[in-house]
Amino acid sequence: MLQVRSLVLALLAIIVVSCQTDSNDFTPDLGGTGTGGSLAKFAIVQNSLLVLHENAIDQYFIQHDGSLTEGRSLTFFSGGLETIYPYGEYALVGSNNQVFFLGFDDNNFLDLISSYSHLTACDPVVAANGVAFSTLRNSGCRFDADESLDVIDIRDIETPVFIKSYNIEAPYGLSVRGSHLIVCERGGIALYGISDPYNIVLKGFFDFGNDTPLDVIHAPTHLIVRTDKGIYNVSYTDSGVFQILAKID
Amino acid sequence: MVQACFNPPPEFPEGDVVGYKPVYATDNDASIRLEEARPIVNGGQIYLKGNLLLINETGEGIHLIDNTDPEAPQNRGFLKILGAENMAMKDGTLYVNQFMSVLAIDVNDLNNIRVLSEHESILNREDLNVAVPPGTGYYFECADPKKGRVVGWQLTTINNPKCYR
Repeated sequence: MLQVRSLVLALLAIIVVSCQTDSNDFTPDLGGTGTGGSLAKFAIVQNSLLVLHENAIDQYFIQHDGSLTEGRSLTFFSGGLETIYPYGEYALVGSNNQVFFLGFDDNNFLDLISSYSHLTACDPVVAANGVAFSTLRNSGCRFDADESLDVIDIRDIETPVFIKSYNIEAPYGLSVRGSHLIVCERGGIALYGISDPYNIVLKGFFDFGNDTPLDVIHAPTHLIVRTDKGIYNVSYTDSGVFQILAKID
Repeated sequence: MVQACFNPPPEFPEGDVVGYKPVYATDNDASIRLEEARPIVNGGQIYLKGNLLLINETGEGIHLIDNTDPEAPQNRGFLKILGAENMAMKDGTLYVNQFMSVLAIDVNDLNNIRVLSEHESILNREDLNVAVPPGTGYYFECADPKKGRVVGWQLTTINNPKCYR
């Protein structure tokens, strides 16, 4: 009996060793920073980690060895901070009444640069190439304003300028890359062409069936979509044809 | 109109609605370690670094996904971090919360992960109290103390919610 148990243990040891060998096969390049979803509450901008709270943002300096030291903490008495998005040397913060644009002073301490408000935004903000996109959702807010996608010119980030508002239904997270904007809305995902921010064009929509998409990240060749029920790899074409490649489980 | 977003709604909807669901502690082990891959149950925040996809298991840790082949993603392991909900990465260091603390964890060698620094939140803030979900303007499933300690909140579809903030 003892011998059998030893044999079982030996076999288990082999299995464990081979599993470890397997995981060693995967050696991703960890240099630089990655990409979070638009609902993120952590963002890395330059050499700072920014941590979002409901009424404040904590800055930590990232040291050479990767450890953190405390930077500045900005308090927002209006509260309702929801999302933070890194944009070059800036950070965009979505709250339930404004979009805030943050940067750094001469000593690299976090600083408020400007803000933008339009009705009541309950949702996130992303940006690329001098244009910011913010979804306004009222589903949880229960007032009768339209739900919309706001487009804001931030080429001069000190003076954000409203460009246009587009009606959309039940929006959540969104992601922008190049001339493509993906928005989680209406229980699916939509692709918009944004070459002309004054006239963005709905190119395609994919109904996610029983799932409700909540957030999305652009990978180099496809999308990663987080729904209320799981996480999926999804391909899309320039003309807005989507296909689920795999559910990640 | 603006006020409406901050006040309780006049009524609660019947049936399914997107909102926050409490995730209860399955254990109280706050040690940080690499474990074998496990299925994604309460998926939360996502973070992509090259072919490595991080998926938060709300309040419990982070799934490590090899997403090299998007048609066949491989679940490679699980970083157990009790209370984790948010994360970011730079140069092989993972920044993640453990309840109220912000941790820097060196993950360059997954077989030898090291906590580099740990900071309690600079201010003790209401939103770090996990009795309520993060974010306002959402319905949520009221926490039931009988089910144990709440370690996090998952944004998902809930049924007949009776709480809101």
